[in-house]
Amino acid sequence: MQRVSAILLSFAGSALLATLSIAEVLQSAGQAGNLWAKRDGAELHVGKVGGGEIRVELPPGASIRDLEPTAKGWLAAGRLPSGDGTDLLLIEGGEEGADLLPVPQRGSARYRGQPVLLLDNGHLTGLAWAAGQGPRELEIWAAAWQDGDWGPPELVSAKGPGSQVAPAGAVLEDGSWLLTWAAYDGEDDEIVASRRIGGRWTHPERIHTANEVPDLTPDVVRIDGGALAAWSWFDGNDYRVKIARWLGGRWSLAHVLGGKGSGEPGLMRTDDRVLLLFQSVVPMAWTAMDLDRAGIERRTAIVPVESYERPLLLLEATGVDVLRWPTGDRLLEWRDLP
Amino acid sequence: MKRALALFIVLWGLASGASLEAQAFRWLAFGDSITLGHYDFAELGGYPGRLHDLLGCSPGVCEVFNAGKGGEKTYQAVTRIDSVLNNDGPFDVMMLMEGTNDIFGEYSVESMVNNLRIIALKARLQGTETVHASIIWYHPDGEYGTTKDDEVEALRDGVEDLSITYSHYFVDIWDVLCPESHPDVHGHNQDQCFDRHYSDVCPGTPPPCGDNRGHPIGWGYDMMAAAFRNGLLAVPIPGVATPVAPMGTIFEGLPRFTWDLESPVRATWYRLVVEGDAGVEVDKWIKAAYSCGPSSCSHGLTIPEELSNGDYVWRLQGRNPAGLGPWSEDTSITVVLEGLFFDGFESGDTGAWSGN
Repeated sequence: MQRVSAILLSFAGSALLATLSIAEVLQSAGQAGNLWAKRDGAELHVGKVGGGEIRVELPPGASIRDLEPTAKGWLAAGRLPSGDGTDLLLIEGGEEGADLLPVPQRGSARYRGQPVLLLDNGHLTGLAWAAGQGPRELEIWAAAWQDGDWGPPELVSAKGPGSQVAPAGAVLEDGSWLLTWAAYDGEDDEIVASRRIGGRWTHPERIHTANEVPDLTPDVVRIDGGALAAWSWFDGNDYRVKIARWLGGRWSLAHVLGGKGSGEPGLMRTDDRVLLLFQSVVPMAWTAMDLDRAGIERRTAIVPVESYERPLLLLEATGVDVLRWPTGDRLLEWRDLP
Repeated sequence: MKRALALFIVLWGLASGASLEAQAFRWLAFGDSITLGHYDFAELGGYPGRLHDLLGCSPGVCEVFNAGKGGEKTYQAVTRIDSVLNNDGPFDVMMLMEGTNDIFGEYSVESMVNNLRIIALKARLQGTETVHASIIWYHPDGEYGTTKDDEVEALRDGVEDLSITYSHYFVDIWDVLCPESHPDVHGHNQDQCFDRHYSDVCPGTPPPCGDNRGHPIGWGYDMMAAAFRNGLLAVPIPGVATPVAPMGTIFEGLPRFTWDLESPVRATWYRLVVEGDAGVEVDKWIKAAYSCGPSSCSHGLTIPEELSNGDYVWRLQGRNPAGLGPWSEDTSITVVLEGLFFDGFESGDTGAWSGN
């Protein structure tokens, strides 16, 4: 394993957050804690909410798109330039520093990227990613992490009529893996999903009824008895956020949410709740939604802010939750849903 | 040089028409921070501000309205365009350049092109034609290196196809900042070119430093504005519309004017002039999107414009992003309104002067 240059800062994590200026922000929660990561130039700052922070020097041209807390620390996944394309990047970090992890075996694809970390109870079990020769020719692949090494790459979705992008995934209670992504069907982008059960992937299928409008940028988390997905959908004039639940072996639409121009919904699961965060254009605001472990909506909070910059959603033990931008915090004023 | 001269004449013509002051040609520059002009060290308003100057715009003649929004993605622009058109319009032409932030994210090229199509459709429904533009390359030493070049190129191709499909205009911006390196942008040394035209990190120094090479700087915006100007000047001016009606003697003071579209159809607005013995009675601009069907246009006068008895000529002139087209030939009409002396009065036909 190759060690990554890292500086451990064991103090003032919150204060340091406010000094960062790069918009790219990642957040993840789990049994091992609530993590955030932000890129600042060639460095990746990874911190534990309410705890310390580590600065990791990224390889030239690298970027990070997934972050997960683990039993030992954290995992970050991204991509880096490779030849005339890109390849996967995995970093394992902890209190002692950070190391590069091996990545699954590479095929002939020029591009590999958009990795999705799949963890079960804080332990790495798999990785999914997009790969192909060009942006409209990407396939979806995955591999299992077994005994400290990667199993052979598994083709989840072969090249289709167009782009396949933005994969998101979760490990469900029964140990199966669930992947969702946006796939162009020849007319528009649709959200599709595939499950890995007993080492075999199901045929990708839409998680919503067929339509002729774009569905974009899905996210998915495990809930009790299944999974919850959120994505952005065009309603004929604007984009809105839809959420759907995977329960009892089928998808069912739960709600259409948000103001006009809502998109890029992010889902996060803690020990006792699920949180959804997305942004809208009219009203110009960030909306947080608090759901229970079964994915049932309980409360919502809308924070008007004239910025597209994604904030951190910080859950304080005191019950006071905030959205944090480099410019400051905004309190989440929760309102119960009927 | 000829095109530049033609544009000058067109703009001079607009400036000299005092009655057209309220009808200034309005360009909408819609896009993200690269349209807004981030890291433009001269604070000249990015390419729209420079284009305003290049086109010789002055109050009442023309205006380039900058509606850039930093950090915006196309799915957000689909919503924001409504308020820009409703609150800041009307506009004659929109220059639409967006997608850079989508490519930083994980959006399909197809969804970007689809969103740009929706934005252009919304504009067209409000009578604003679209000039599509490709986005510029990322700096090869920037955050993503050259790894996004294929997506930039795919978006460029998609936008060009979109402009062909929907008969929109297309300005190819993608490689104007480093034109000498064209066509092979991959794998050869462009350092000097990119460093000259793009922002830089320059730790500890003020703008245009402090940016990870994501935006052009002054020289880059100069070249973008020039590319837009050249692209717009390449659009052919409208042809001659054909007046259809009215002709000859008419018995109403509020006639409805109809004319056939010029071919190929290129006008976004028509100027209607009705001139009588006493001078110009009507001089107004009519938006093609509101008044024209697939092959002809129609416009009725309103009560304040009512014509009185007399002889008139009327004529039309189209305009589009390239400027003003030639006038149609004069069409003569004679307006005869109801009164004492009209046909039948001296013939003994009492029904003709019943007064009804």
